[in-house]
Amino acid sequence: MRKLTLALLVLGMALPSARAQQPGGPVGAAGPAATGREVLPFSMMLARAGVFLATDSAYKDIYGDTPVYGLELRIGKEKLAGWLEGSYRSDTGASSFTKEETKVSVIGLEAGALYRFMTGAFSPYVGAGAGYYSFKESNSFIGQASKGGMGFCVLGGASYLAGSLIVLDCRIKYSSCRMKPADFDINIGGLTISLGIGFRI
Amino acid sequence: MKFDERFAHRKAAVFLVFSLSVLLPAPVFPMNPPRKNLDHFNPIWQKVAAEGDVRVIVRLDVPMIQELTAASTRFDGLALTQTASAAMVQADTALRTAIDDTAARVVAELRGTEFTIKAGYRSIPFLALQVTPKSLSILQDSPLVLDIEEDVPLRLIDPEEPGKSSGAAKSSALPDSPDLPMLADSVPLIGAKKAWASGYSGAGWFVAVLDTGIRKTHQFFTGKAIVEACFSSGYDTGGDCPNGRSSMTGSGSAAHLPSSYEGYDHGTHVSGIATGNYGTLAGVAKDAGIIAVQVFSKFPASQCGSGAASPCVMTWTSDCQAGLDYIFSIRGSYPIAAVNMSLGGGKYASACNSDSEKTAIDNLRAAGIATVIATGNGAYCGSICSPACISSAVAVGSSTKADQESYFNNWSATLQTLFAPGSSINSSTGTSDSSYAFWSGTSMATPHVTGTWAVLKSMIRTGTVTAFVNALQSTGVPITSVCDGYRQPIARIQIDRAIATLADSLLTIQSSAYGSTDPAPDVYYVASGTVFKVTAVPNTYAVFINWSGGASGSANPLSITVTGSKTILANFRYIFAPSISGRKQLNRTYSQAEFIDILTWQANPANAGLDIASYRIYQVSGTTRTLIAEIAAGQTEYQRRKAGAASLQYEIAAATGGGREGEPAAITVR
Repeated sequence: MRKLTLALLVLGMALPSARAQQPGGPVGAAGPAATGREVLPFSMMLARAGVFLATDSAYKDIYGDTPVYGLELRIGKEKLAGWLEGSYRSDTGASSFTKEETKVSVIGLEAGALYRFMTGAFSPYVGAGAGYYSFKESNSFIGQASKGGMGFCVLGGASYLAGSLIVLDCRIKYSSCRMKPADFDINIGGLTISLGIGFRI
Repeated sequence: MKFDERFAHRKAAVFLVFSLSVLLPAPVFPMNPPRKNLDHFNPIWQKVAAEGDVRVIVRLDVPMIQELTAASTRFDGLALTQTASAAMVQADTALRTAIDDTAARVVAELRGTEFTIKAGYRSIPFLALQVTPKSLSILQDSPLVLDIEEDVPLRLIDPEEPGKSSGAAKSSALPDSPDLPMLADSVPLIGAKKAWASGYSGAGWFVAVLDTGIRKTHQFFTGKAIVEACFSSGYDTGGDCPNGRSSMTGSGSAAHLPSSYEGYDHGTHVSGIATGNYGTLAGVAKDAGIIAVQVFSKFPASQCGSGAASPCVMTWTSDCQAGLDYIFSIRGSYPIAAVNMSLGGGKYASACNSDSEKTAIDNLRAAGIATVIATGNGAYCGSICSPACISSAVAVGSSTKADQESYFNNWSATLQTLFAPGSSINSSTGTSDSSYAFWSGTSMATPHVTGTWAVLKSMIRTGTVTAFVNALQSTGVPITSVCDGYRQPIARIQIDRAIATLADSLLTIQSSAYGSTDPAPDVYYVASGTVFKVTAVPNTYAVFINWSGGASGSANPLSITVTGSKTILANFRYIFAPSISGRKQLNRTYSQAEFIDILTWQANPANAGLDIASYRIYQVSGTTRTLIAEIAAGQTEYQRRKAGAASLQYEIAAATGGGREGEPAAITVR
């Protein structure tokens, strides 16, 4: 929970500056989305921060929740968009019995498609994709393990165009990638809840 | 005239005496010399007539010889004060000068005849010569000559081969024992190991071995002090010593003759029995030094007995005498316990005290040095070889491990002094530096006794030959002979019992349960003031605690000076096993895992009071036991990382501060 709070705090600190970048206009003016009928762009670049909630209890026991960071590029038109994201998560935990420090890191490179239900300033969406995930874990006594593998993900969220340029995004993503880097068959995927901030392109 | 090089330095003295004898008008020699026994000379005359020359040993009429000899032999050469040492040198010099003077006068008498000096002596009134009829005639008539005997070559007492039937009657009555002794058996059989345990192993003493020399690089003599000399006048050469002459001293002088000569390495075998020490095999006086005296010469096959196919080694009596004379002369330089002579010849039913060698043997005996001689391998009943038949020698016959007379032994109830093991004795040979062989013979029995002398001397430095003979005869294992229907026993040496007889103090060593001592718990007889070293040896899983009784403390080994009677007790305790439990524990990261074997234990309360310093943990796999950890005594748990998922066997044992380890507790961790 502490890690989740940290991730949200990072994003929260980014929001005021995002607002500051909004173009000027009458207070309460709805901006481009206010027209309601206008199709707003579905292409954007987002920076993300969130928390990874493992679905595997072993991971939870060792590392708990893990902060995750990412950079997303979304190129779309009307209701469909392509989506490409790089993410990185890293955490420090303790081995199950000796409680020796154990480190894990996962780098993901995912791509897929999104479909949005509404084309206004607020646009909820769903999507799916595939990804390549690189896993690395090290323990000073037991040793080090690393492996890469393909997986898939499904996601859902909502974007909000605040002003003419700034985009806020909230997303939940489930990913799955099974592999055996060392002694155990593991699934390095899980649930990721993240907030994003970016700009339309 | 051909002079031996050894006498070159005396030429001036000889010349002076000769000149005086010519120039002085007054008669120098008695006008009416005592007539000698001509019958005694007949064989010599026959031989010189047949062969043109003959080797003889001339007994010289040296003025005051008895007094001079007595003055010299009263010094045993041991631990002399500076004054006494000077007195000994003075007495030896006076004796030698008197002998040299008389020898020079005899040589002067022979001037103009053909003769060769084969040997001269420092302590005995003899001169060995090779003479023609003319020179022999002069000697016979000389008032300076008391007696003349032929210088005969003596054979080695050849090792017997098991089954060889020399003496059919004895052979059939005494077949080869099925359990013949080896050196490894014969040494403990005669109680030598117990003597060593008492601290008497011949250390600080030398035994002289008059034989075929020694292969001194043999491993059996590793680290041993070896003094060398050679007296070998050769068969028809100027001498067979390594320098090509008839005498030599110093390193290399006692090297063996060539291996093509039968019996060439006899001396190495004999020396090994007396003093060898390498690995687990040791001779009787394992810590004694050797004075190796090579007295044998090369003889052609034609002289080696009928049917001999190869040349052999034999020793001239005069060379043996030179060896004995040399040993006497160095008694002040080396503490010499005994002289070994595994050689001889002839067949004597009574004492052969007219032999010229008796004088040298007497001198040595007077100086406390025994001359130990083999009785011979002829299987004779009632007769033995010469020079063993000399009454002042210690004549040694051969026995078996079963304490029977060896079938080849020359036996005489009156002439044989002792028995010693001589059947199938394993000792060093001359083939290589690591070669050994099983030989049998009185030659092999004799060095058992020679070594015994060094052992006894290391107990009683001033012990006389008579005292040691009496002790060995009165305490030995009696062995009878088929020769007289098994009636008259002769003692087989038993050193530990002889020591008990000679001792004036005793040390009783005892041990508690769970341990023993080295030497083993027993009663040990020692000379008063002997420093005795005892090592406490705990059993497996036990620890030595301390000494009690006549000793205290926990020093190990313990050195204790024994005076009177003393009893000491070595105390031991058992180290009991701890109670132990164990389990296998998974330790994982997300992707990796290890199994940790966790062992926990509790100290055994029965070990209270013991100095338990640690617990040793072993992994056991089949018969392999590998130490994997040693944990300080305060801890009670050990985690073995990365132990794997399979079951493993462990043992844990308490260990004392001194490193003694207790009984282990075993567990299989699954």
